[in-house]
Amino acid sequence: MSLEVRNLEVVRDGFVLKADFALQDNKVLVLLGPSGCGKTTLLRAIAGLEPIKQGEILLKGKRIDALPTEKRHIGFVFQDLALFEQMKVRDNIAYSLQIRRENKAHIKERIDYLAMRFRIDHLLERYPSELSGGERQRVALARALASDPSLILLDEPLSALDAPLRREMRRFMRVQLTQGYLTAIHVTHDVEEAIDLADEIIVMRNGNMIARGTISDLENSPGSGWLARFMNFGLTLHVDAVSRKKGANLVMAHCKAGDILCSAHDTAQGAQIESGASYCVYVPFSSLSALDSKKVLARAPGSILHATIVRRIGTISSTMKLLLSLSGENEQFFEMTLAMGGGILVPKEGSEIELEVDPAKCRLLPEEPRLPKA
Amino acid sequence: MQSGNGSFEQRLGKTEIILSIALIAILSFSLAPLVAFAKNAIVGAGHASLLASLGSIPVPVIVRSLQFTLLQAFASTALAIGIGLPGAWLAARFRFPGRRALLALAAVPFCFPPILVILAFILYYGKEGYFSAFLALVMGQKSEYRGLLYSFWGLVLVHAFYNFPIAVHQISALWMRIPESQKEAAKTLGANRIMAFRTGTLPWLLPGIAQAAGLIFLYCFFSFTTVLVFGGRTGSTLEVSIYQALRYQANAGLALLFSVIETGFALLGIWFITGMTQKKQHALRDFGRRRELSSPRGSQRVLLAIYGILLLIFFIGPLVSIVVEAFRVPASLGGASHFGFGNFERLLKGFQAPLLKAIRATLTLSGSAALLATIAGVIAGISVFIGKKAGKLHFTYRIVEALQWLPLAVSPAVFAYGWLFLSPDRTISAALIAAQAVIAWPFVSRAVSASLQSLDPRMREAGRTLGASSLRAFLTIDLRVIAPSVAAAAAFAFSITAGDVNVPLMLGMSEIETLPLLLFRLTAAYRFNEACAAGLVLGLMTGIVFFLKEKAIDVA
Repeated sequence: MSLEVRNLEVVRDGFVLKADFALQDNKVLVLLGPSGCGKTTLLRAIAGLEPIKQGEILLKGKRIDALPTEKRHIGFVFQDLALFEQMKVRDNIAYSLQIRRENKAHIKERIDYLAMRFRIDHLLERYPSELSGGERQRVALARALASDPSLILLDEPLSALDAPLRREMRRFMRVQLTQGYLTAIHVTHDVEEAIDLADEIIVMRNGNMIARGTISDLENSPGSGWLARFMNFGLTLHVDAVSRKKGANLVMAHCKAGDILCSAHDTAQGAQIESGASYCVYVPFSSLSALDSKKVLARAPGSILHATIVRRIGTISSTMKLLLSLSGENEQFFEMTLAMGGGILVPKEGSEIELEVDPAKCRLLPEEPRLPKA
Repeated sequence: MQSGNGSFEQRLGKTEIILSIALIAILSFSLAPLVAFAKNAIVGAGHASLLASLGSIPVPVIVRSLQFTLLQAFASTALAIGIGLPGAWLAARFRFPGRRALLALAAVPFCFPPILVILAFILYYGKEGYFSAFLALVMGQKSEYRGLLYSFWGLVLVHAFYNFPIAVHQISALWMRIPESQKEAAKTLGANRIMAFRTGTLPWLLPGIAQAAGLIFLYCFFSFTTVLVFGGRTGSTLEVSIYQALRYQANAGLALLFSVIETGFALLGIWFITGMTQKKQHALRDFGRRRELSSPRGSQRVLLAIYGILLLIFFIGPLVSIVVEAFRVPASLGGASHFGFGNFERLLKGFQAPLLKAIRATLTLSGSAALLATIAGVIAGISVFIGKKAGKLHFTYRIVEALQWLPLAVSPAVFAYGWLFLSPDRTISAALIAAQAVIAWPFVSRAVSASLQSLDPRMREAGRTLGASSLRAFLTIDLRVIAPSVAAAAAFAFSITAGDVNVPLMLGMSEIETLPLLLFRLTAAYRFNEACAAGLVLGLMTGIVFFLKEKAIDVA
């Protein structure tokens, strides 16, 4: 393991952060969560910028939690990038090497290598204020990597960029991280960014790690309605009542939008619903398909949802993108791409269509995530 | 769209004519005394003229005075920054009881006239003062401590203690805005604490320190009353030399020479300050919101306690001694020393009962000067703003903007005597009002134009899109925002003029006595307790006005 965080606890102005995880070499871990969930605090604690109350942090097997920041040898890219504005790009990149008293030839060699790799060789004699947003990102990344740190921490470095540049930069970053065999933790609240960058994702909420896994792990089994909604994996329908289906680990969930057959595998007590807790059915978008008009007679109970077409967003080739709202559920809007032709008819805006649900992919989930026991 | 711009231009055209007339009046009002003084000094009118005394210019005296002025100003500034920096750091980083009070001390140089602070220092650090008594208690022998005050370092100490709150206030305001991320970035790149501070904080902090230092330097450079009282034995600043040339040598020519040298150096100082201010503004523009304060821990608490105690002993102590001494009636033939209102009674009922007259004179003269300064300042502030907004920074606006630095560049003596030469029958009170108004209006103007510039134009635009006419938008949005600033600036102008002892002393007023003059006379006559009583009244007067000003800004 490259990094191990054991029973970490950070307390700051009444906010408590708890974390326990390990990260393998050459992997990119994304800390994902809404604002204020503690992901930046966790990153800062690993870097030694935030005092910890308890726990251990090990890097390459050595404890680093007692070391001051400058001795940890961890690269950090800040949200505002924190480039030294009074220094040229060259001096920014050379900073950590000069502090480590590397010889001049090595410093020059390293700067030239990083400048070429990050396509900033023409910017070395400029000051940060003379750079564009994307160029500043690349300089910040090059500076953080200059002294070849064991771990690189990225604190929402793309948040200030506009959408197209952000997309381009995160792909550039992913390539650099992969090609450089780097171990990195990236913080973001943007699901799309997490999907693009992560080998593995930890989702945080209110100072706790509430889910961990690859993107497909999380999509298959989000563990809570909150997470499914946050990640935008599918529909979450509030459950009014549940009845057990004989002979299988399936339950029939009764919702306002209709009855849905689903797996109760993810709930703690199987199909037994805890009193007082709120539940939902998670219907992944991947489990939805438009009902073929030729198969209308073959409807299975618990596998049909009705939706209203709010907007026909557009047609590309033989597919059509629709904005739908679910009948019976307040304000549940979602997008769906339908294959045109065959037996599928696409009615006009305002009309209703029937959607077929694959019960094997649906899950009965608690609305709120279960927190790890203290 | 075209018509919208056109109507603005038309409206501006009309306003411009009115403002131009007002601006020319302000320009004449400000520059006339300079011309009058220069004319009298060069060609002579009852005073020794420059032309007449060209051959006998006392070069060594001028050089000595310049050397002393620069030396004491540099030393005072260095000490003030040295005392202020730790306070700025503490106020910028930590949440602690008394933090607001520490920052509020910045008001002291503005709302407490120098003469009051001088009195406080005499009472506290003088040979018979409280601090001396304390030292005698510690050292056992009273005779060992002879008092530091009436020496070069005494003067430097008074200047430093008078001005260090400016450093605390200005530097901490900037420090709070400097993001930690640059310092932290340096740490993650391997820099130790000192190196990280040098890389990530100091480059941003330096313009703020330099700006505060420049301002304090100028205040000390122009120091008059403090040097007059404490520096007499060790040297004389240019300002005191001007006073002596005018009052005791009747040599306006020599005074002009001194003041030209003084203004030359002051302009260098102003150039430095404006450069640093621009650098600071540039840095501030790149920073986000100000940082949240944290609670001090461990050694930080110890540092905070030490700073607080030192401040209480060396700075608050002298101020408190004024209050104590104002109520301590000294021992006399009638009985022992006791606490009561005896000092106030003597000033109100005793020989000539000077206090009420002085209060009346201060309110009338300073009130008139402040009113005049406010009117001129508001007009100038609005026109500078309009000129900048319309991109029409023509000559008049540029001159008005430059004139805002006038009180920091020209000796008050020049204004005082200039207006005296211009006053019909040399009426001193008219000269006093005019001179004080000239000194105070730029402060009002700067406050008004800064307030107008800080207005978010989108607020006015939102008003317009909601149906408000241009005038209504100005009245309901702009004016509401700048009204407290105007009130605050007027209060500030009153604080400056009411506490001013320079101009009245320069004019050698004998028939009218303002509160600062009364204070000066009582102090010079060693009637310290009565001086404290008069000082308390003056301090309360300017302090209350300054407090109201701060409240007005808070409300805004």
